[in-house]
Amino acid sequence: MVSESQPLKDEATFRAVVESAPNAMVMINNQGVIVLVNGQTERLFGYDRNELVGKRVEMLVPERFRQRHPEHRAGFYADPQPRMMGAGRDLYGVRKDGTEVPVEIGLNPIETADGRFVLAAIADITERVEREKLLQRQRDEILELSTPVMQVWENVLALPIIGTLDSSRAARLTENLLQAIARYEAEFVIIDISGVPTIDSAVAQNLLKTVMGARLMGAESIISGVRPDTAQAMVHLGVDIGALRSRATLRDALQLALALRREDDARNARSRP
Amino acid sequence: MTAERVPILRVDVILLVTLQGDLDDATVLRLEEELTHEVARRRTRGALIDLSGLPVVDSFMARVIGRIASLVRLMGVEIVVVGIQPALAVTMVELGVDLRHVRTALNAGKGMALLRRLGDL
Repeated sequence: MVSESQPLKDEATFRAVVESAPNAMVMINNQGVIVLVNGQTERLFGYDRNELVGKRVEMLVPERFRQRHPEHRAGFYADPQPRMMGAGRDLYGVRKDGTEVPVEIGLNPIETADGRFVLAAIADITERVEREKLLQRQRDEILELSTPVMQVWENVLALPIIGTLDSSRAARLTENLLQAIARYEAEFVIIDISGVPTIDSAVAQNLLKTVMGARLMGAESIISGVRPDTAQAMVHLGVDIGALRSRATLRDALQLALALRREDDARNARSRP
Repeated sequence: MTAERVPILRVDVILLVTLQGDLDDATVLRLEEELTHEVARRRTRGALIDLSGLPVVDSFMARVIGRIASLVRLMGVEIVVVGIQPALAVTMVELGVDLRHVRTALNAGKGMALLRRLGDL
């Protein structure tokens, strides 16, 4: 690589190095005007090099970032150190056809007899981004699978929890449940915890948050599958049982939900003018 | 800070209040005052507060809503809060908002049914 302090004696050599680089290389002057690009740049952005040289580098920056780019550029010129552009942020380039491409950009200041230039090495990270997206999607799906919400009866949802209920899972579970309540106009939610191995205070808190969230949306929760040891743990933890209906099995819980629903229906019928 | 006015609709013995947009503290306080006045002014059996148009609730607002509920209940009025969206519900739980003593329903329709059921209105 060409280092900052080393003057460029042999321009032809430098051009050959830039041309053979595996990434797109774009060199700009202190005005932000493109003075040199390589073949990879042409392939990545879809421009011919004579369409790029002499233009402002902002033509490769998506519209929404374009306005602020000269500012960042000036910032780099004020403190020229080899570094990555936009640390931690997602960067995009815009091609000739207007499509965007996710990129990673390394910046290198270059001192020459003609003044200071910046050489930007632009790597196309489309594949990596796609891979990360796929991974994220799979993670989401796994979480989704582990927090199923079922409509078991009209206005009655069941939420069997299997495995440990950590806070990230609990948050997802609550979110799914609340959305399902809105979608199915649910009035009762049965939360079955027979598949939860241990109830500690964190799990109990998470469970209570779910119940409170459901209640704010007008749905009453019934906890089912409370084993003796679980019950003991909950009482020990000071979980407010008074506000919580609970049944030993999912079946009993459903029966209770249906009974409560019938009661409501009957009273609705009575109160109708 | 000038308090905006939240309209209070009356349908026979039921009051309807729809909270929308970003509300400041003064507006919520003014609502508290006007609602209790309205309850006292004419025979009222139920009140329905719709939050479906509310993007956020801070702890102050939630507390006032809880207080309104206690106040009007003391005056013999059943109160139901409806239309809390999933995201808002999560926020309220995280804020530790205690609406345990306030009845809730998914939407205005279910809220009205609940009010009728409660008060045999």
